[in-house]
Amino acid sequence: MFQQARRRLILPFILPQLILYVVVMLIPLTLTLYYGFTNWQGHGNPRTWVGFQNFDVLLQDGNFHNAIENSFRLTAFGGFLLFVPALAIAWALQQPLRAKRMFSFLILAPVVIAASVAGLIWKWIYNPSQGLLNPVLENIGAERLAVPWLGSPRWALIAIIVASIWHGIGTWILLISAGMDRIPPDLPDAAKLDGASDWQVFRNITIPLLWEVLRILIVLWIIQALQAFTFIFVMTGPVAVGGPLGSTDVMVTYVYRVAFNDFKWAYGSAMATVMLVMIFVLSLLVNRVTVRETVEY
Amino acid sequence: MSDRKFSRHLTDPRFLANHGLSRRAVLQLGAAGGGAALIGGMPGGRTLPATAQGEITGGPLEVGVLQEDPHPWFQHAKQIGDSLEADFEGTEIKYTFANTASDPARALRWQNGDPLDVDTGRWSNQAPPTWDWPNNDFLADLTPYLEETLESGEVWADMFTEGAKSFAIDTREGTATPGAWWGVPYEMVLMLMHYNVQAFDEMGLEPPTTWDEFLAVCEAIDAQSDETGMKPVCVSGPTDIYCGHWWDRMTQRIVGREAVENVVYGDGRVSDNEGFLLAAQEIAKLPQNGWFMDGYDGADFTTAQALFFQGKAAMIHMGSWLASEMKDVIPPDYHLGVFDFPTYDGGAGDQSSMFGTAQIWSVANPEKSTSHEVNVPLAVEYVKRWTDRDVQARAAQELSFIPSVTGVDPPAATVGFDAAVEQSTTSETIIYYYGIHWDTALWAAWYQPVQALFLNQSTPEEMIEQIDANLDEYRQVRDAGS
Repeated sequence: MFQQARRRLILPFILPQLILYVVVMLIPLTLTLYYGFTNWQGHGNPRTWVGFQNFDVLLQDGNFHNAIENSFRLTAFGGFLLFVPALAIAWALQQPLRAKRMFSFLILAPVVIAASVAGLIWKWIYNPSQGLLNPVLENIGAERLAVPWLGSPRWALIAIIVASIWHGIGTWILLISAGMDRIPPDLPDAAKLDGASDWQVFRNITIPLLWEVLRILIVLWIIQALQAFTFIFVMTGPVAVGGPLGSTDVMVTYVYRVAFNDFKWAYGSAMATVMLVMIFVLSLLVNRVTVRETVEY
Repeated sequence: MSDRKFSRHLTDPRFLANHGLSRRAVLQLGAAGGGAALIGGMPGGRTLPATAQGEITGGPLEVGVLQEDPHPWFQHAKQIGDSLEADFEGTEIKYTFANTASDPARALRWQNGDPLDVDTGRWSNQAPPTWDWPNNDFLADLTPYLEETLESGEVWADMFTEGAKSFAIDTREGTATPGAWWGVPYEMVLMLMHYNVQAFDEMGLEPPTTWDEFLAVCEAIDAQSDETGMKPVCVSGPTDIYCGHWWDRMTQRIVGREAVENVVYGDGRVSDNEGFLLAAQEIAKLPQNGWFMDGYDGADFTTAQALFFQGKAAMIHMGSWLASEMKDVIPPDYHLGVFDFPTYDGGAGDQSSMFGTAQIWSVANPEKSTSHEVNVPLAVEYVKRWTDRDVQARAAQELSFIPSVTGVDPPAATVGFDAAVEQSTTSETIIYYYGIHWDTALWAAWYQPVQALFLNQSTPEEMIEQIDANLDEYRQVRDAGS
């Protein structure tokens, strides 16, 4: 009787979310997939089915290849710049520290700033003549490091990665810390009693026991990094096309330009479809490759 | 298009059909215009309300603005809006940000049946990428209104300068609507060399007219830069299209408009015409000689413009919107001057050609609006007030607008504006960037090699090679149907 009543409640509880999911997710996704196979140019123009034509064009489009390359650079380099300090800071916050709350606050504070505002702040920090960074570098005798950050094809993407990691690292530290909290404290304590150093504990106990959390976070990072947009748009747009010499043009900024500036909706949809497939496949691949046997002590 | 040519269209059956007019309607319109002219013979500066589709009734109206409150540009727009609200009961104006960066968002609204009633960037006779809007009936045809006679006895269409008309009146080759007004020009924009008058005076320099003189001026300014802290030229290195100004102007002077358009929009190659290499070599003298202001390679365009007004550079090539856009950061004692891009001795292009555009207000076609009813007469009245001579004079003096109508003095505060405006009345005005900025793939192909040159990442020879390679790829993708 009780079970029956519960079952009757399932539909009313699920329905609103289901409707929302269909309206904001499934329908746009299906339409995007469909548009990618048409020649729709917006403006109320008719659209006809053109098969794989847009995808053939993508194979020849050097701008798209450049955008893919930059997306992968951002994902790989950004991942390295994110996870190494995030792990270190999360571990440090697990240790008995004075003013731990203050440190936690300082690390988490940038997260609450809107990404566009954070992008503007960093745009000014990097400004070569009126910014903060270059005068500091010049005054400490590191003039050679004072480069035109956002104007340099070599440094612009790296400068953006640093800014976006500064903004978001707090969330990742929080997630890693939550994973570390789940490690039973008697394991590292016992290892220390047996004479293990902090590094040995970190390497042989913390990382293996945290691995399941880390691999999920890595997949999440890949998904997020391949969709990067805001910092790039704010810091090297919107007037320039993809930063100096296209050095900050990533998949999403290119899709945005093609669809919203040039009104090539069909071509942009085809790109979005390729992007979707790439993210999906890469996530599965990384998920599969990072599988380890469950560690138990 | 001349008035005579335009009048001929009023008897052209295709034109009449395209505008939903009959010969009788045109005759009635003419009679109404004549009547209005009689009434309009009375003294008084104000224009008559738009009457082509009936009396004006107040109501909501959403209009675009290029600056936000409290910028003087916004205040100017609001003053016009306030006058409309005062004159037509029930009128309520909503101001929506409508600069270039917001264009994609507004375009989406238009496409989804929720257009701004009055918007900009929807039509330019010289910019092919805007042509889809009238071709797909998104815009109200304002021709009947423009043909009306104002209170002053003047036909509204006759008020505009020839330069403004060349951007507003439909003279496209093979157009189905020849002579149609798909928008009303409210400001002329010219691409000009802006310079620091005080610095020039102190250094005993005159605005250069030829490229050789320009180079000599740069050399003179650079020679004193250790003392003055001022370099010859301001440019924003990270902004490819602003580096591209120099390329467009120089190639027009050396190889001519037609040769450039043949490469950009046709199948030509820059390496087939030695003039392009010469143009690249000439503009390469700026970075090669270190004549750009310090930090140009990392300064975005707003910063670069601010640095110009802070005296870090003596000259900047920019649209005439510069003084208005940067009004808030220009020191009160700053003395701004302008001159047109220098001529090039022996160049194949028309040495008097200018670059620019007309800022145009278009009105949404009610038939394409599903979200609300577009009040066309009210929208037209709003647009018409922008072109009132008193309003234009105020905009010229307070916002440095170049008037789109005749009989209004250009901005007085800027030295050389009058000469530039005068030149524009007799010279061809080519749409800035040749309209390339509407196609970002073409933009990247054409301007990024110039940016590489300006950032000292390539030589003129490499730049030419890169442009050809980029255009080959661009055409391949374009021809493949994308």
